[in-house]
Amino acid sequence: MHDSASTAVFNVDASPEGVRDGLQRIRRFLDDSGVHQDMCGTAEIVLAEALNNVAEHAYELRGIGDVIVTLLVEPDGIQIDIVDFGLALPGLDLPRGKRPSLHHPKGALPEGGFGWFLIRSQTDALRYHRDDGRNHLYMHLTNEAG
Amino acid sequence: MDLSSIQNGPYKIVTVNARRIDAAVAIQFKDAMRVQTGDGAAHVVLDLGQVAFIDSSGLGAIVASMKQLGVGQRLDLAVLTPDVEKVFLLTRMDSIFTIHDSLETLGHRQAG
Repeated sequence: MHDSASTAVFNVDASPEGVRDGLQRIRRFLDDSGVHQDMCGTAEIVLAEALNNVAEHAYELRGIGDVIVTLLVEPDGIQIDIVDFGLALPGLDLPRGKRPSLHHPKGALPEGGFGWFLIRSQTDALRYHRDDGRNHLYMHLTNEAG
Repeated sequence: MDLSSIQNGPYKIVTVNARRIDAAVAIQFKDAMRVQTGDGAAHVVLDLGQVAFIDSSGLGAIVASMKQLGVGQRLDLAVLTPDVEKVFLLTRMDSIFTIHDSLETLGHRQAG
């Protein structure tokens, strides 16, 4: 998809509007880096879920808070590092992210709970650690198109 | 949230005039859908052709829009762009909704 590695760092505001703006900037970088559209879409989906989680939980939807997203685009995939300065993940552990069951009557279908499932289903490496008051989330996406 | 609608034979087609349904607009989308479907239209088709991206909040808002319909109303989807389709496939929500490839073929595909 591209011959050499390219890297970029994005500062994102931890609000719904800030996340949207950040995702659009990141998408342009991925497009400009020659990443296949399907892979761009996958990256935007997992980044959206990860950044929304930071805004909603680490920063408790206060609408302010800094997030630093570092991307490394390589021929075989994309490495993503997300750092924030908010609250730690409960239990200092990643949620299991099981896909919510749809075996319910229409009126009881789930309207949420898909975020970590989407992240886990699309990443082949996912790590979290807390260090010096910061959350670090590492994700790797493999480029299946070659 | 900019939604517009037309009645096309048996279908009330509601078009999302926006590029994204995400966490920033999920509640507004759900409220706008409540207004659009509040007339009791029996067969609503949500045209997502202009929507390039949804996150799980947007997905949840679409599901909520279906759940808030009255008795005798149904909600189909139409024209999923690639990244939107990906979210529906991954979550298997594509199995919950009837999804039309285009608005032009609505009448041909839908028997009732």
